[in-house]
Amino acid sequence: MPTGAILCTAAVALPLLGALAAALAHRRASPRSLTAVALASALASAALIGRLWRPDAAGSWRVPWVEAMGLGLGWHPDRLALLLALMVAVAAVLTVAYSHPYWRRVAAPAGLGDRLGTYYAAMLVFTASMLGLALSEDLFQLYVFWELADVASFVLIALDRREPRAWSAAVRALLFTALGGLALLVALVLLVGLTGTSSIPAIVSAGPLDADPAVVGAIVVLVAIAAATKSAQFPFHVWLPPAMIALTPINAFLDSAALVAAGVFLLARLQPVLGEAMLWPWVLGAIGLASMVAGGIAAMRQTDPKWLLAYSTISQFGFMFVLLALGAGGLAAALWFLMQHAIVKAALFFAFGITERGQAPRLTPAAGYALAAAAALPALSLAGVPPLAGFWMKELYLKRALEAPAGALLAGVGVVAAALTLAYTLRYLTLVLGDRSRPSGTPSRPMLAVVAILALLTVAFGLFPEPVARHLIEPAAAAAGASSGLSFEYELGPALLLSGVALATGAALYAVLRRRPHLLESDITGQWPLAGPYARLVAAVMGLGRALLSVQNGALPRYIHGVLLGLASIVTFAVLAAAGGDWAIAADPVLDELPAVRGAQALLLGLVAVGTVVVLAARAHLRAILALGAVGYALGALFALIAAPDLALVQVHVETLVTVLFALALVRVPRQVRRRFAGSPPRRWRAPRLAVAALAGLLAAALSWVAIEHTPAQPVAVWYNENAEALVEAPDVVAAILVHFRAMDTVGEVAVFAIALLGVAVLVRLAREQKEQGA
Amino acid sequence: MTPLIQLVSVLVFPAAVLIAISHLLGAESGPGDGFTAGIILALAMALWFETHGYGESPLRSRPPRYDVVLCAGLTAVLAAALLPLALGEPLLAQAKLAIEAPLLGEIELSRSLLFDLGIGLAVFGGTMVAIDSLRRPDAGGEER
Repeated sequence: MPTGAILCTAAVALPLLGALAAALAHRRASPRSLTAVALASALASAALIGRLWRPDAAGSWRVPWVEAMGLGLGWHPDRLALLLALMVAVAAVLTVAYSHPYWRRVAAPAGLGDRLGTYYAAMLVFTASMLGLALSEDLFQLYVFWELADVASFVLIALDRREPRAWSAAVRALLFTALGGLALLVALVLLVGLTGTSSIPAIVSAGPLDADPAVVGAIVVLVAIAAATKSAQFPFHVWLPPAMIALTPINAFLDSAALVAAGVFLLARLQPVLGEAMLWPWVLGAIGLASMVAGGIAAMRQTDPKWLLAYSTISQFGFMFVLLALGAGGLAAALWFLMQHAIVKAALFFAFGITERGQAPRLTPAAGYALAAAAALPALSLAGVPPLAGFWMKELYLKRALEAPAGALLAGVGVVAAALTLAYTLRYLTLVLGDRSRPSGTPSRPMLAVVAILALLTVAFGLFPEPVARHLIEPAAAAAGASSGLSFEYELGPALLLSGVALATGAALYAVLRRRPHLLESDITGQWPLAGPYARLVAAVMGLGRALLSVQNGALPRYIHGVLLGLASIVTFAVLAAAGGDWAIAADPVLDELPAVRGAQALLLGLVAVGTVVVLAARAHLRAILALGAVGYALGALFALIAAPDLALVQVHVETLVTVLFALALVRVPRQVRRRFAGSPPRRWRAPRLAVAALAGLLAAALSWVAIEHTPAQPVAVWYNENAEALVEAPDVVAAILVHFRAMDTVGEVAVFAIALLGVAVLVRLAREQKEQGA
Repeated sequence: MTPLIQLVSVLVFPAAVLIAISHLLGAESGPGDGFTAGIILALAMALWFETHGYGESPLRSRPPRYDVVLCAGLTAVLAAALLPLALGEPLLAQAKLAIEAPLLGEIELSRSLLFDLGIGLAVFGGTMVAIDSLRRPDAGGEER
């Protein structure tokens, strides 16, 4: 493996190992050692990412894992990937450093003291999945990490199990991002189908897609949905504000630098391929413009600072989506926006965390001034005040927007959104710094240090934007196919004028609304536009869900009916498709070939028939169970007689196991129901149940008959028999098939088996815990 | 449970373990593979539980967390699937490693052995989860 690939693998693997360590030790280790492990993993990852910047680590690496389908796995550490990876790694380090004092001051008093290990484990898994997402060389590998990040963020949002709002917020977040993931998967499949490969460098270097515009348009829409759900854009933005129930460091990490950044990253990655499509500017532009305005207005109406920041994120990412809609020209500006926004938004979340309820946040004067400065600088940067880095966020947007078609609209909306930004950042500062109703104390120095570092960064990047742009942003944009670079000159032109107008308007807006707060209806937290229609849509979906859920009413017969009827429909469909109407009945070849065994076979078949009758008619459950076992053993013996020893062995084993499980379960059944047919269903249910059972049995028989009748001329069994030993050195053909030829199927079966039984284990543990609590 | 049945289960258990191991090692030479090994072990454990009660275990130490065993099995299967990738072969290709052991001569470890071991662990763990979920809190066998 080349150097770059080793570094990438290590950068993704180390946080995973750290997560494993934190998860295993979470009950026994002290908070300090858990933080040390998490910090070490994050720092090591960041160091590896830093090492990847050197030229000798460049170049992608791919190993094919299913050659026949063109699938592979690998790493592609180009500058765009490294930009996101660097952001994620640095954010992870800062978040871990912040989390330790935060835990002691806010989370532990709130009752989450013993969840620190889970917290760090989920955070490190999330870091690893974001790094994997950034560095992936293969589209499906990217998808896997995309979904893994969703799962990790679910755990992080739902960390406080006793808080019902946390659970519903996490479920909502997962639903939206999973919807986006599904859209992404479909888009990727279409893309791979069109280009014939799933390798990202290959697809990107092939340039714009040359295919049926309808298909390309579909891919654009699906990718836009995926990016919009991840970056919380309109109309998929509703999951982000409720997710503010999570711990503040989580919000700082996920909702400024990492999770929401993945959407922009995806669009930048696929821009060379999809950017020329007709729908690209329209879809992304519409989403971006709507989010800019809706997010800004909603942010103004919040009284909870974190909800304000959430809506602010929605609005700011709207800017980025519009820049991406402009195609290759807006890429560099979008990436600058992404990076600077991450810095300031994380700083604002961290600043809020310092004053959060539960600690002692009314500050000594010196600390108060320090916090005020550390919070005000990122806030003003976000609002676009020169000479901070955020000024260039808005200025570059306006410059690009004015150059584009429909520039007046884009610039106009940009001015409105920028004005709103200043207004709500001033409001944020008032909310966070102005509250004098809390007890006194000193803030934690590490927490202040984190905010201060981020504030210094935004000041530095504002005063000296060139180094960052030349070394970080422009190479990344070039890797994504950008056509133009960035210029940071204060030129007196329309863009500067509009920035000024935006700032003035924003300040005026804030002043007016401060005098007349009733204009904001600020007593309703979380109110946002289009609430009415959205509520009706949600009610309709919930109603549909309840209707579907009524199938699962806890009664076993209903489940069995559902399974059997479903199976019957599938079997019928398959049989009709295979037979194609040809129902000629031929003589059964098996019996004709082995006349000598006929006697023993007939005896065993007779035993099977008798056993079946006993199962149906027995008065006691145990008798039925034992008869079922007898049927199984007879079948096993039958298999042995027709020279299928593997099958016989498995049949006997499984039959024994099933009989044992049935008997064990029988002991748990209440005594009065143990007599069979005692709690019988009323008469009107007997006929339908008999019908379903008979149907299932008939169809199983029909399937077997058709399978025998339609044996192909060259059965694959002959090939396996001849080639098993030669190809894989396994004399036992069945083992050869299971472990070598069809090994992938076996992996799938083991996975399904494991998932089902892990579900059983979890249910049992839950039931036992509930019983203990009740007792 | 009569002493006779308990004695029988004490005698059967080591034999069952040996048979299971033989199925696992001889997976490719004849009937029996990792799957049957796992089931045989699970059935032997179930027999033990039935005859001696759930409170006791044939192993001296605490019984393992069966869901962890199940996960270990699944991990082994996945590791066996991915192992050839690290050696430059396609996914799930055959890979063998011959080790010289001092007394036993040459031992051959292969990807398929790890695969079968994983299946056996997964089946054992999963079946024990199922059996364990049906156990009653009071120990000691009962007449039915």
